[in-house]
Amino acid sequence: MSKLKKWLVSAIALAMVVTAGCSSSSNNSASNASSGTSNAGSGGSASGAPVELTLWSSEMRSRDIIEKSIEEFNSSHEDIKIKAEFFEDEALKLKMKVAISGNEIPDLITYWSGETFDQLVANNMLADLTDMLNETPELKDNVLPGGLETFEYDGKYYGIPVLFSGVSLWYNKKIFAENGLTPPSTFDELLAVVDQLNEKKITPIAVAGKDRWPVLHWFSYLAQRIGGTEPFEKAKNNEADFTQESFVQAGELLKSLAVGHKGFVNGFLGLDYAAAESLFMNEQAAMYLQGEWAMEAFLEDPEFAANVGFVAFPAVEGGVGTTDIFHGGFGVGMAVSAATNKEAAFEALKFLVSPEQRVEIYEGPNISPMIKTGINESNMHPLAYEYSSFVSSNLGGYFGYYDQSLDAARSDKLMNAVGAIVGDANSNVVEELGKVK
Amino acid sequence: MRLRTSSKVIIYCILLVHLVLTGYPFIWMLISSFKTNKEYFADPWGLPSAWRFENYAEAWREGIGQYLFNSLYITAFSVIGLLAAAVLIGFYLVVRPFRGSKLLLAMFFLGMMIPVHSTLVPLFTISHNLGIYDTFWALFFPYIGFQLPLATFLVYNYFGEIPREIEEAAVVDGCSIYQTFFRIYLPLAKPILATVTILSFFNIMNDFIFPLIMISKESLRTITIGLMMFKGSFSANYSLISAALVLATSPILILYTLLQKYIQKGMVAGSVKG
Repeated sequence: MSKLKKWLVSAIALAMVVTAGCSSSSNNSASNASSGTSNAGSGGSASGAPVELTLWSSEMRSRDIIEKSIEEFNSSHEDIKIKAEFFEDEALKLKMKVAISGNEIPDLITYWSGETFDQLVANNMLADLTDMLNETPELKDNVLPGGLETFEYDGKYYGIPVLFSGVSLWYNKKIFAENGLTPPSTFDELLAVVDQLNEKKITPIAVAGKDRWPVLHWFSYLAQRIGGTEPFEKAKNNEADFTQESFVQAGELLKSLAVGHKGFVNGFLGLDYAAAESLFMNEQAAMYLQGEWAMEAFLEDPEFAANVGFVAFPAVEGGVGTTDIFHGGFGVGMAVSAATNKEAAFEALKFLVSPEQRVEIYEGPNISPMIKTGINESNMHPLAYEYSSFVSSNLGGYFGYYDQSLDAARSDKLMNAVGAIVGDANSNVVEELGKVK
Repeated sequence: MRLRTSSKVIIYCILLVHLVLTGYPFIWMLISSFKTNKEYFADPWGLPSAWRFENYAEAWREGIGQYLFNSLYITAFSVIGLLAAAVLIGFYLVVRPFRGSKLLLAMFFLGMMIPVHSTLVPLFTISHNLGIYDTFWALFFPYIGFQLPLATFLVYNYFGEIPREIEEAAVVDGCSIYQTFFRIYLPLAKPILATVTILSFFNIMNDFIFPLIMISKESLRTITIGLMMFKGSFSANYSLISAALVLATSPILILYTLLQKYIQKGMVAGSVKG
């Protein structure tokens, strides 16, 4: 018995020594590495090993461009090596959850603003970028208004926006011209267009009802055009619910569009994103409400893209919301882990978010969150250029996606309520919206 | 026993319906994989206008080959490790039971009841602390750990069915315990090892959650993760995905066809203690 005890004690002691040794050695290497960065200019620092930074990025579709920048960064910075890993959305969300619970997030992340980002900040896992931003005014002052505020918590900045997204109403120029239609600027005009298209047996609007959020976009735009952004802020903070006048009115209008005027494609509740998109792209539907990301598919078919036009979401007569307010926001930002070598990470961050490095991304189907973007019209498809300049010259403000701003439970209920309103002719708008609590 | 023609017809009809239900989705995937993405949506049920073999070339270029290789080699080595562990544990517990060996066995079986998801965070932390995160070993050990209960269970029961007289005879003839293992038990264990191989091979090959959590770098991503990467945030080229799926399923299909007879046998072997 005593023999066993002795063994146990020595085993535990050994384990402690080993773990203590490990952690102290890793601390050493980190501090060595950071001194290496600061001494880089004078050359010949004590530790030769470069700082390795891992980046987890959600920007799968801009992957090649980002990898090119990273290569450039790595070859010009001997003491810092960035290693980027790109993930599909759902995969990254799951990985991030585990990484947060395991307290091992990567050095750099490109991630969505919203609930998970809040959680990262609340757990003190992200580095405060305020000082770094104040030292680099050329970066700080170049961000579009509202961009840094998206990642601001208690007066400190924790992220730098890399993408702006805005939803607009896309339409098929050819179908509109053939039928003598003009793109709608008010909701009543939209209903008139829908009726005329239906008369000619052309599907007016493609919408991915199965994914639910595309229908919610219609609802939130209508609610904003009617009552401005204030009602939603109140509802979000639980000061009022979704039975406020503007929401009910938005529900009624949406219902008259979907049910009364049969504006949405038949069976839209069963269509997923790709199917709805392909309806619009196969010229089987005349209109499509979607963010700038939809351009990615349009641009792959330049011939089709030439036929695509867009207008801001129509105004509603008597409503307070103006058409220069976009549904969207600074959805994706880059942040730095609190546990990393900050000096090196900031250096990498500044490089990667700079307009020079990201210009190719913004010349594609993306919108820059910066004032000076450096995009060159001659490198772009006319549609991409038009939309970029349309947003940057018209942007009077933006309001965030309802499903991302609300907590998960209410966001789910709201999407169900909107689904019921457009899907069931006998549904009661007030009753359905009242269920969102 | 000869079945009457009428009942034979009925059986064949049922089997035919079953074949259509299970086989048609595969055929559909195969056909879709030759279409363009536009065709995929415009005419989901028809044949492609031109057979686009480029889809396969592109899927391969996008990394399916690498993903498939990763999956196969991670699975193969994990299965080998698993077999070695399970057969040794099963053998020792049967041949040399000691005080508490039943308890040890019970603990293995308890392991079957632990849901994988509840262990993700601890495993993630452990692999970080051991410095094996994002390496082959971060998958190797968890895979063996999670497949071990079932494997041990099967091997233990199988060895339990072998008459003890065989071992006694071996000892009388002068076999050491190692010789008993290598000359008597291991050769006899072939059928059960085949069963364990098949069961765990498919489990590991199809696993999604461990490679997602434990692996970040591109060069180690398995086929399950790789297929997910084919679907972009907002766009999905379904015909390309179909081609990738055909490539990804074919090794499993081939393996299944080759091992068919063992799979049937394996399902019952070891499950009943004689």
